[in-house]
Amino acid sequence: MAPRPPSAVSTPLDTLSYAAPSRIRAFLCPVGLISRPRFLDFVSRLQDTSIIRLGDVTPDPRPERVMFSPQGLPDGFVVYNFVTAVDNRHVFLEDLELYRRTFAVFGLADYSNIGNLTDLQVVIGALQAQHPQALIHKVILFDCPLDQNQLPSVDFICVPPKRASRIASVRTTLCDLTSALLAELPLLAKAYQTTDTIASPLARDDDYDSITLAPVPGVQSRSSPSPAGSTGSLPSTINKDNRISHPLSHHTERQRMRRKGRSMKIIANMYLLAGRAFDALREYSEALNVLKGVNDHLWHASCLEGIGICMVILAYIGVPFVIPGAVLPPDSSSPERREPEPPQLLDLLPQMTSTILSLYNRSQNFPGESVPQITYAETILRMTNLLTCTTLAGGWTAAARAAAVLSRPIPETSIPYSEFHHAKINVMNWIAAAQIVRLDGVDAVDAARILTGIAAACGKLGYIRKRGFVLRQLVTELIPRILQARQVAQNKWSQVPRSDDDGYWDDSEGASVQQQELDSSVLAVLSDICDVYGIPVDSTSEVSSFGWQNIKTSILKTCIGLCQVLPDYVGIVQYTSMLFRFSGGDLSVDEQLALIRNFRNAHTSARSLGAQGFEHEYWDSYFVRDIAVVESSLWAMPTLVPLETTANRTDAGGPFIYNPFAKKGDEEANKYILVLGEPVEFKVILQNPFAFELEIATMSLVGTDAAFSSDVISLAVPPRKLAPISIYLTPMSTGVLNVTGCKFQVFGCKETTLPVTPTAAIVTPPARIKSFGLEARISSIIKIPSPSSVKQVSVEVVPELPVLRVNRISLPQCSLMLLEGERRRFAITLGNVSETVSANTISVSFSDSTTKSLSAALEEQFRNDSERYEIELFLRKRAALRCITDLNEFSIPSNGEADIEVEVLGKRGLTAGRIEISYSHIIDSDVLLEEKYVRTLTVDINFTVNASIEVAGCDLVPFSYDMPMIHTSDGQVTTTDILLKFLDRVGIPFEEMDSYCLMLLDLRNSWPSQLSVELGSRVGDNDIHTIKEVIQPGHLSRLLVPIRRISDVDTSLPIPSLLPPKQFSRQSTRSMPGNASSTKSGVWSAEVERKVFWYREELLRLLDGRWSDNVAETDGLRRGAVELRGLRISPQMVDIVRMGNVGVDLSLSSSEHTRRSGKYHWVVEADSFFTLAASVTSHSTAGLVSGILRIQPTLTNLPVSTALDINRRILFNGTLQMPVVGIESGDARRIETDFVLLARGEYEFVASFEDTTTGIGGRRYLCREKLVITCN
Amino acid sequence: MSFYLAIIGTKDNAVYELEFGTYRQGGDGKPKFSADMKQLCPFIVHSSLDIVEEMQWNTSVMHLKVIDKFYNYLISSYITAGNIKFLLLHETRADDVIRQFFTDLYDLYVKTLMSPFYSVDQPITSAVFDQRVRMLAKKYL
Repeated sequence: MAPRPPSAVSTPLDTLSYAAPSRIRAFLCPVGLISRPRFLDFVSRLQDTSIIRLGDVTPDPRPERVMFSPQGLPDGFVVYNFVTAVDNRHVFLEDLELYRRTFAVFGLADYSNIGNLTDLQVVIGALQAQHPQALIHKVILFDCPLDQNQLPSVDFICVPPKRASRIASVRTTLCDLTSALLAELPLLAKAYQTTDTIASPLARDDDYDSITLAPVPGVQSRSSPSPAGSTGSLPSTINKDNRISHPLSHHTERQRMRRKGRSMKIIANMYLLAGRAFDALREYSEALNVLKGVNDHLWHASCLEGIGICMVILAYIGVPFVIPGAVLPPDSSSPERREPEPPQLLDLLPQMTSTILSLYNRSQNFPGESVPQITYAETILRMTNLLTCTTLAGGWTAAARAAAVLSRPIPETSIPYSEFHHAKINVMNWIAAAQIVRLDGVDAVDAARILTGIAAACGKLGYIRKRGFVLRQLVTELIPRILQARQVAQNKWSQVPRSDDDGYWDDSEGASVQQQELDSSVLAVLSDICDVYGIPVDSTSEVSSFGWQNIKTSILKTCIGLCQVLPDYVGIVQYTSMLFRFSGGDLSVDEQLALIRNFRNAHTSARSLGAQGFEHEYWDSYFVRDIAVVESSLWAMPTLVPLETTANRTDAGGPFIYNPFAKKGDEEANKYILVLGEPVEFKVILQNPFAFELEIATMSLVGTDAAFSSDVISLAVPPRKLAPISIYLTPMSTGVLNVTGCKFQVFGCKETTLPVTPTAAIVTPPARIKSFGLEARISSIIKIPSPSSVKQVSVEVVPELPVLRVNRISLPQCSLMLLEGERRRFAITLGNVSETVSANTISVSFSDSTTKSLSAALEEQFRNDSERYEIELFLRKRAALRCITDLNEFSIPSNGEADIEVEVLGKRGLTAGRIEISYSHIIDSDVLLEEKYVRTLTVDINFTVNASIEVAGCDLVPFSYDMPMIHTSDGQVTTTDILLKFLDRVGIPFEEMDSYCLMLLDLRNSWPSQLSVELGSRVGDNDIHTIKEVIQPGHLSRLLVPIRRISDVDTSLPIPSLLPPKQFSRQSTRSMPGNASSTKSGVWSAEVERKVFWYREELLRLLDGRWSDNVAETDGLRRGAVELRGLRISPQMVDIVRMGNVGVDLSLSSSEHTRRSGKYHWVVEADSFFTLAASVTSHSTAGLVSGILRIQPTLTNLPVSTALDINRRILFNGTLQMPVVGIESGDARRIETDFVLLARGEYEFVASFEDTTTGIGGRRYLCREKLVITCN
Repeated sequence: MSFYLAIIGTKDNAVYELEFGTYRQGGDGKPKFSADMKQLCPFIVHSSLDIVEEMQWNTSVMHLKVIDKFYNYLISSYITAGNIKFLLLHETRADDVIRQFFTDLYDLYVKTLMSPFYSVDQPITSAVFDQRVRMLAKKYL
């Protein structure tokens, strides 16, 4: 069945308007072949012309038919109430309220579809048989070009085509029909006049069950607040059993009068229908008097109503009339002919209605004569309608009258507010009265009519919420009735009783299709209700903070309930979606489960019926809680590194090394780089706050900017869970890729795209309230999820990069055992998995387990500079791992393999090492780029480093000529002999013994097998003295190492740092004067520390130690370096190893009086002349050296006071202090002094040289050996 | 006798709801609404808002007295300066007592509004407020 185009039907007249009882009911039915739109078009054409002026109607010439002749009131009019459905439910009311009777039956035929007109003759007969109560039965042939005379029968009426005839032609046709109808009316009137009895509606109706006007018993307990102050007694209930029919056979006078009055009232009714309101008024007045006399309350009241309608119509036409005295209030009961003044009539009518209602109430006391509920309710509603018209029109104006009589729209008028308000309050009283009418005895259609009437009145007055309330009441009234009706129908259809649920879904096919057209209007009503209560119906991405949450939930449940009983599957789907959207959190678990079951069933049914595109978007806007890139071990994430390692770092950061306003580290950390064409896993966190499982048919990622393809997956989200799922995404173009959210389709919902919302939107309350009440509906709509809470995952897509894997490592289980100082090599075989690109830029970096502890040690503040240097050296220079392969030309082709060789050094504390291989693919055109994207492959290797040879201790001993005797086993051997042997062995000439010193080095073998140690000491420029020794396991061995003394070390230089300089470097703080803690670090002063440091460095340069393992052949030859940095040097040792810039030496010239007993030991005779030769040798490289030479003779083995008393013992020729000027580097200056020893004894001579090159107070140099002279 | 009190915000939203009964005439303070009526109360009160909105421009007082009725239930209303509506569903007319009740309720409401943690139109969840309203109800109704 085609859906009805809404514009095809013009609005029919308001059936609850005040003058509705003056309209003639005409039934329109389709005849012959006629399409639905055509039929509706004809109906609307007729409805457009439903008002026929009596002046246009030709009177019937027959004399017996003049009773209702249109000539009686040419200004009057007949109004047709065209209906397209037969309503037989109110047949019992037709006597009391004649307008409910169908007077005319018009078959509407489309001439263009009719072949043979004579066939239609049968139709007339059928219509007459079906509607015997109608007075005329005609077939109207639309678009018929024929003339009336050409038609076979007078029962056919012709309407020319639309373009040939305008409204006038339809009107002419209707005038003719009216004429025929008015001619038939007298026959009916006669029939009523002659009939024996005219019964009240409830007196003869068997189907009409107990009626009651009483309000809900629980609600209404005392007097019913009748409008306008009428206090009628409680309407009673009449049961079927208690019904008493009047003894019709017993014609008393009272009965006769009652019959007469009633027939008069019916005649008056006919006059009213025929448009002759004036005559009707007269007839009504007469009937009123009769009926009042016999206490026929029901008919009396109905009569009064007729009078009211007549007066309103006459007032509309503008015919002067007399208000019947019977209806006037008692105090002004003098009837006089006058133009009714508008306010008077307006006041009078509500009073009359009050009277009518009280009469109706009174009629309840007479069984069988009581008022039907529908009549009672409609009376109130008609009054309400009239008052609404006058309220809106601002009084008893022409517009108000036109609206009341002909349902004309009221033009907008400006009415003083308070007046308007009071009028409205007045109407509200009537509406309240109408609301009280109990509806449980009324059938569904009537209940709907009453409630929609109330709702319409509320709506017209602008009481939108009240209208919503009434409409909701309507819906709740309808649900059980429809359900009941459906069950009855179903039981008739199949006698087998079924459970509600099964049947509910089984027989849906036929029912639903029939209901399809109903749905649109029902759903419109529902959406209207929803709108009032603040539920945005159309929008799916918005919620309104407007409204009352409980009410919203309740309303939506009611809507679902109505859709279920209809059943309207689309509606169920729609409203269930909305219920979950707006109040998902308020529903209990059972409710949710029931709702979702219904929802799924309804969706399936709607689909099977062929409904399309009715689904809503998924209801939970916060469905996608988070999206994140999963860092995969399979596909390493590339990182961006500058291509030039020497890039200027300061450029980027400005003048500040640390800028607190710079980007936070987090953002940097969250930046991901994807590679073109490589699938990447994304983790999506979905929430399901509901108690049921969500079935997601399809789900994929959506994003902007760079193109990508997302996997489409289907899944189920378990109830009440935050479920992490993973989706793969493959970038298809380079650039920035923003993943904004997910596109998914939940079962029963349409495909929805939702952004990522980690947190719910925070609704900030407005600073000022700008609107309230219903006006706030628009302003309080919130877009969800609010843009501020939406998250995006931004990733950068870069061109294709190779993917490397470690294929092999030439180490068993990636682990290696080393001895300290040992170097080993191993190879890592890398394979390129990529099909297309080669890895042509590879760099390797290393880190190991020592790095961390060393770095931590560096951070400690108490370290002095030399210790710090030591740590830095181990950190930077003594790298545990080193790449051997030249990586400059290294490249791994796609699907190829290559080896990288790595050398490892056994270093104390090394337990694990990490090799980071960064690789990339750079094509030549990329050379200009400053940055490149690299991938990093990490290889972890475990090491075990065992101790080998350790330096246990060391000491430095100078070579001294003055050595004690040592007794050996074979007799007396002087030390000098041993020394000479030693010197001979190490190749140092005895004379140059001064330039050397001896290092005693204790080495321990901590390895459980013997190791041979080879220690080299650079004694000359090209001469390296080597000492070899095999040390047994666990043994300590002392090696004697000749060391060439070191001269010319600039100890004024600061201790260097191997780390890149910092802004506030250690050195600058150290050199700051006055900072006690920094200048005096540790035990030594800074000067001493520097001296020790530089001499140690120099010493270490001279030494070189290696060990090797000859024994363990199976494990290959182990060899390694002895870690000599374990040497500890004291300042005293420095003095030994240092060779001064200036050497001072004393000797005695030999003569016959002298005998040399050692190098510095002479035996002389007294009173002889000797020559003391002092030689000053400059080793300085700085240039000429000048200074003062001092010679100090003392007596041996005496206290200082007497030791220096040599004045009477030695005679010197010259002074003991003399300047020595301009010694060139490497030169020796010889200064001779003659002296005579006067007394026997032992003397010591010491010489010193004070360097005055740069002024007084320079450095002093002592001679190394004192000269001892024994005088006999 | 049973009462239903609702404080309605500017957006037709319920800020506070309470059902209570009278303590007079031997009442125990418990509401005696039937199940249907219990469900209907918010709807009745809501449907009266139309009239409140209309009446507020017609008068200078805050207490609007009885503004609507539904069967034999009456609805009294009080509108605050900030356009917050107090609506009370009751069964008998008692304008003076209800006026006192509303005035004191307004006092309570304003105190709530002064809380820095409360903003207009938020539901009032304070247990103290609830307790004080119940005390007011006991005192007056």
